[in-house]
Parts: sequence; C-alpha cells; structure tokens
Amino acid sequence: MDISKAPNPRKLQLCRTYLMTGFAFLPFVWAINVCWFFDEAFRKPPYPEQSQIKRYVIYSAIGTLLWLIALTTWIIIFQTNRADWGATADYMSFIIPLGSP
Amino acid sequence: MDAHVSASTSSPATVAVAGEDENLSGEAERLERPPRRQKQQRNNYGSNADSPDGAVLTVPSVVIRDSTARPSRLSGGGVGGGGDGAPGPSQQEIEEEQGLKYGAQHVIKLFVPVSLCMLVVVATINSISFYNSTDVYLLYTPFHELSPEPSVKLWNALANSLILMSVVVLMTILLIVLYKKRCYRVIHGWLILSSFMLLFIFTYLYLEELLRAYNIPMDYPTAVLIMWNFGVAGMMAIHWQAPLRLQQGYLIFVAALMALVFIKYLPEWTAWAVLAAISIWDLIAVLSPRGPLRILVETAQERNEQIFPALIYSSTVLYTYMGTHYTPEQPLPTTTSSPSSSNSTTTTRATQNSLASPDPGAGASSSSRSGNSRHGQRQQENNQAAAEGMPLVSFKNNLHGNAEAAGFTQEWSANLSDRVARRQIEVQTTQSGNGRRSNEYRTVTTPNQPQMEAQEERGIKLGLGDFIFYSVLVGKASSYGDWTTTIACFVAILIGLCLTLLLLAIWRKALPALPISITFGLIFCFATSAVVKPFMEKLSAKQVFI
Amino acid sequence: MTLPEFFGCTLLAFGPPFSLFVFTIANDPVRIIILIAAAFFWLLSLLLSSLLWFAVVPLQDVLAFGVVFSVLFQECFRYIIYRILRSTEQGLHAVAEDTRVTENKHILAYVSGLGFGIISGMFALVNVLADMAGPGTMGLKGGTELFFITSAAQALAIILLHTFWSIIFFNAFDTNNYLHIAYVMGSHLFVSLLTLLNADAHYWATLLPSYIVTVLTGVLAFKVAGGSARSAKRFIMCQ
Repeated sequence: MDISKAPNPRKLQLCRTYLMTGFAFLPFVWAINVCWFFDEAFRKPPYPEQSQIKRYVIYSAIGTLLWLIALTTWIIIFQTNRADWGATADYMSFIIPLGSP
Repeated sequence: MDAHVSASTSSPATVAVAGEDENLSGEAERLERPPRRQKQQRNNYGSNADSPDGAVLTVPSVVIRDSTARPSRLSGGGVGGGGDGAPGPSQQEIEEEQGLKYGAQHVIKLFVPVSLCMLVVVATINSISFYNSTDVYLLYTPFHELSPEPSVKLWNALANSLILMSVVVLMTILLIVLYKKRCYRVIHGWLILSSFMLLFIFTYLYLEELLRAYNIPMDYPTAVLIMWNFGVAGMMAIHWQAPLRLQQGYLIFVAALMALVFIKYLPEWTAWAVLAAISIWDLIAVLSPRGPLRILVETAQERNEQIFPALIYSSTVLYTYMGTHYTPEQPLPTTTSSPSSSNSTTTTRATQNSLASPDPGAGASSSSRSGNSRHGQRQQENNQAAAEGMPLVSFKNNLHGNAEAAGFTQEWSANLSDRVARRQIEVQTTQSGNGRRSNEYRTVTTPNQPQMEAQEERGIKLGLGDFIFYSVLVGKASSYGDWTTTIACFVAILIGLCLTLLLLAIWRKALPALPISITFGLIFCFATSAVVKPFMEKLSAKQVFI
Repeated sequence: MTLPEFFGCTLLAFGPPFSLFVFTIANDPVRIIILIAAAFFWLLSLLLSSLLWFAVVPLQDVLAFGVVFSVLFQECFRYIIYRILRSTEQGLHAVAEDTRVTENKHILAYVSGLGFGIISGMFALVNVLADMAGPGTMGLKGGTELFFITSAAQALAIILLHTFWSIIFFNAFDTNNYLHIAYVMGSHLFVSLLTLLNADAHYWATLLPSYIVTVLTGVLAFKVAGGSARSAKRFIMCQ
C-alpha cells in the first residue's frame, strides 16, 4: 500500500503495529517499518502524529541494529568455534559445509 | 457493470466528468463509511457490496483498466498526437486504441514480474540440483514413469495429468460451492493456511537446499530466526498491509516456489501433460458458458461482490487508496503512481477531483461506487488471491507428508491456476473505478501533462497461477541444460502474453492467460530442443553465424 | 580464468546491445514489445531453416546449405515484419505514447533490427557462454584458445549488422531502392558464408572482413537514416 495516501492516524496506527509486532523476535518487520515510514517521519512537512511516528521509527531502527549486531556476533562466534564445541555445535548446525572441519 | 460499461463507451470527456462526479459521490460515501470498509476488507471477498465489477475483477488474473488509459489517451491525442484527435473517431475506436495503449504499458508491467519469476526459477534450477531430479512423487501422480518405454511413459503421463486435472476440477467446484454458500471464512482460512505452509515449509526446504548448494554454514538458531522473520513478514505482506514492492516480491517468490515444487515433484512427461491440460482447462473454464470460472464471476456479479481473492499479482492497482478526505494536497502524479492499499482507497482522488472541477455527470454515484468497491476489491483480490493460490497448495501440504503435501499442493495449485487462469485476463476497461478515477483525476489535476498521466498507475493483474505455470514451462525447459530452448520458451511465452492482452483489449472480456502462452511455449520448447538445437550446436561448434 | 573469460566475452558480445537497449528502448513499452516481436519472428525463421536443414538429411553435414537458406529465411521474415509494422503503423500511432516511434520510421526499423540481432546473437552464443563459465576452457588440449573471444566478437558484429540491415532494408522498401535490398541480402550472405572459414580457425580472414562490412553497413545505415558527414561531425563535437 502507499503509505503517503493514508490518513495520518492510520499511519500512526500502522507504524505502531509494526513496532509492536517486531517485538516478537521480528527484526525484519522493524526493518520494513524503518524503510516504510522513514519518509513520513523525517521528510514530510510536520503534522501532529509525526513526532510519534518518528519515535517509533527510531525505536525500530535501534531494534533492527541491535538484532543485526547480536546476530552477526553470534554467527561469527558460532562458526569460528564450531569445530571446538564438538557434538553440541554439530547438533546446532543447520548446514555443515562440506570440506571444512 | 452497466454503469462501468456506459462510462467506458462515453467519450473521453464525458468519462472524465463522470469520474469527477464519481469521485465526489465516492467521497461522500467514503466519509460515511470508512470504518465499515476497513473492517470488511480483511476478511471478505464479497463484503464490498458496491462494485458490480468486483466479481469480474477478482476473477480475471489480468485486469486491464482502460479507464485510466482513456484520459491519457485524450490528453495524448490532443496534445502530442496532434493530427488524429480532431476528426473524432468513433467511441469504439477510441476505446480500442486506449485499450491497446493501456495494454502496451501494462504488458511491460507484467513482463517484469513474469520475467523475474522465471529468472528465479531458472537460476534455482541451474544452481540447485535438488530441484532438477524427481525422486519423491506427489500423491496425485501415482504413475512414476520409470519404464523406459515411451508408450508406457505416455499413458503414465496422461493418467497422472488426468488425475491431477480431476482434482483441480473438483477443487474448483468445491470452491464455487463454498462461494455460493457464502462460506467466506472457510475460503479465507484455507488461503491463509496454504500461504502459511508455502511461506514456512517450502521456504524452509528452499533455504536448506540453497545453503547446501553454495556450501554456506548456518546454525539452527539463525535459520529459525530467518525463517520466522521471513514467514511472518510474508504473511503480513500478503494478507495484511505492507509496502507494495514487498508484497509484489513475496507474491513473485511464492509463485516461483510453487513452480519449483511442480518441477521437482512431477515426473517429466507428466509435467508437460499437465501444462497442456491446464491450459485447455483454462480455456474451457473461462470461455464455456457453463465454465466454473464463469459461474463464479456471474455469482459474484449477482451478489454485487467481488469474487473471493485468488492468487493475483497486481502491478500497482492492488493498493487501494486510503480514505483520506483531507488530502487535497496530494501530488497528482504521485498519487496515481503510488497506489496505497487501504479500505477507503478512492477518497483522495475523489476529493481532488471535486476540488478541481466538480461536474455533475451521469451515473456518478454508480461509478464512484464501483471505484470504491474496486479499490476494495483489488486489495482484497490481491491479498486473497495471493493467499489463495499459494495457500491452497500449502494447505494440502500440511495435511499430508511432504511428498503427499507436494501432491496436494500440485493439485491445489493446479486448481488455483485454473481459477486464476480463468480469471486471469479480464479487461475491466469499462469500469475500473481506479482507472477512471485516476484518469479523471489526472485529467482534472494535471491537464498539462497528459502523457505523464498515461504512464501512471493502471494496475494490471495476473493470476499467480499464470506465473507458476509459465515458470514451470521455462524451468522445465532449462532443466535440460540448453539455454537456447530456455530463451525460445521465454520469448514465446512473452509473445503469447502480448497476444492475450491484445485480444483482451479488443474483445473486452475475460480471457484465459494460459492457453496462448503455453501453446507457444510448448511448441517452441519441443521444436527448439528437437530441431533447432542440433542445428545451432552444429553451427556454433564450427563458429558459423547466420 | 573461466569466470573472467565468461564475463569478458559476455560483455564483449552483449554489452553494446545491452546499452542500446537500456538507453533507447527500455523506456518505451511499445518499443519493448516490438523488440520481442522481432525476436519472435527471428525465432520463427530459425525454426523454418532448422526444419529444412533437418528434413534434408543428405545435406546435414554441408553447413553452407543450411546457412544459405537460413539467411534467405531471415530476410523473408525481415520483410514480413516490415509488412506487419507498416500495416499496423496507424494503430501504433494511436497506441504509442511516444509518437516519435511512428513519426520517425527508422525507429521501428532500428528496434526490430536490434530485436533480430539480440536474439540471433543470443542463440549463437548463449550455449558457448554457458560452457565458458567452467569448469573447463578451450585450447588446453588442441583447438584454439581464441575460440571463445572470436565467437563473442563475431556475435557482436552480427548483432550490430542486423540492426543496420533492418534500417537499410526497411528504408529500401519504403523508397523502392532495390540496390539497398540487394546489398542487405548480399552482405548478409557474404558475412554468413565467410564465417564458414572459422571452422579452420582462419579468424583474421573472417573477423576483419566482417567488421569492415559492419562499419560499411553502419555508415550506409547512418546515411539512410538521414545522417551526413556534417551531422556526424556535429554529433562528435557535441554541438
């Protein structure tokens, strides 16, 4: 849908819903929220609901960033230590690449 | 429908006026009803009672809304064309031209997603060997074509496709019965379930094979997180509200996934037989007087409802405009270009129109209604359609084991595809509320930039079933490892699509999108691999260029 | 080595046509459709010539036979597409958003010619490209390592030639200039038969004449399309 045509309360509601949904381990939804409402929050002429949308977008961006960092560190830690961790790590592995220990 | 038709037939100028009126009336209506709309949108296929066209719209996978084209036409003819506009060609001619023009742009708008879908499938087939070999079979294809005898393979394939087709027909009839009995909740739940299955289970399989093919390590927590995020976002995009691009992307991906499932689980000859049978069934279902699709559409029309949404990809129109009464500010071109999916879609346009030039036109109210309903329909259609096509498949999967599920999915998908196909191409040139509005809107707001307007959004819809079977054809052709065959199929399918849209613009009735394309595709696939390929191989081995 | 070779050859053969497509065609839906339609007609001509080649079993090893008839079929279909485009010109004028498509007749010729060229280049090269991507390459054990690059260069020449040919050809039928028609047929036959020498790895004997013909044809197409030495100069000087 084209968000720019929605009435302002609806935008706020959507943005809020997306933010709330994102708490269910859904950083991707937050990322969508950020991309989707970025223009609304920062590039549109001000309107009453904008400050709240802005806040939600910022929260979503922070959440996405945190998730990204956490996920990256976890993957790096896991993959570098997989061989050392032995059977547990193998158990946790979805795909074990061929040809590497 | 009548209102729409009349509007369409009227000269462009009149149309524009009517549109304005429509908008006004629509606006008024919107004001009254926005809450209702929103509620209705999500679940109902037919809830938007306004649109008589809705049924038609929902049915056809490809909906062409000429109305938008008309204004552009007018402007284009008057401004740019110069010569021909003056003599005043008959209304019919104008309509046809507009339809064609409209078609030209929309053909391209369909080319891109269809090509993307095929690209995904072909790339997958060529990089992931998992989808290239059939070792597990669907429940619906009991004959596995293991015999080396061509005759045995032939009757195996025929029997398999017969079974599949009968399942498809049964499912279609079941769907119609459900629809006739107004079991919207059942249908909707079915769709959600199937899209759920497709987005989670088959995506999971795809992810696994993808990672395996490229030898990328991954741990379960990450995989689960990715799947969860991808699936939930997909459900939100398909069944609820999300950015247009995201929704389109998900629909394309789901169609590609479904096509891969077919390629993977159908025995080779059966796949070809099913392709042929589906396109024939498509033809029958859409065109015969008692065809299921037709019945569906007529029922929907009787009820003044939109048909329950099938898998439908819409280039833009899907998104209804949110009903903002206060948005006279909207940039005209932008509004048209970027459709927003909301319940009260048309209101903005209406307001604009009203602001610009409120002229009382004939049948304004009806048109406005249709417009509103259409928006709603489109949204619903899109969502539902998306849900439908895939969901059906996925649903079955759930019931049965994977292999079985696959079989179900095939059947379902086939059913879906059938339905889709039937619905696939309907040109709603006359009515499309959005189109009109947009046209009117454009004309009113930006009289100076007619051409720009023309290019703006006229949504076109193609059933996901068409996507699926086009991709199955191309993917199957590419699985033989010959790129010339793939390219030949691709070009043939696109040409078939062009022809179908051309016929659509000329005949202005719902047309099946599969038969022409699939026929061309099959002819060129076999001719290329049998006759052209040896010739070209000989030539390129000797580096001879013709 | 195989992957760089793949990308290099791909870009060599299809880079120029791709940029032509992006800058001159991709923005206009009507042109895209005409391009694809032209590709389709080329496919039909190839299908017919393959059928003929396939049917005449005794001559299957005599490639010259297939080549000659293929060229004839291609020119026939060029004529057919010319007839179709000219007869639908009215409709196109009504349909096209960008009226230049019909006001300047050479655009139609150019677009359909590019369609012919791209599809023919693709058919000639795409399987070679697929082999190029690995795992093996040419020239390690016998054969010449120039195989791939000369194929790509020749394909580019053919693509450009098709574009020029269509411009000349369409205009020739518009103006009844039989000399130009004969030139198109003759140069097409000449280039195609010339490539028969490639089988013996006489690459310079084929590539050089091919590119000379390409340049000559390009100049002729430029003149046919209304260009002149002065306009070319002005174009180069960015005036």
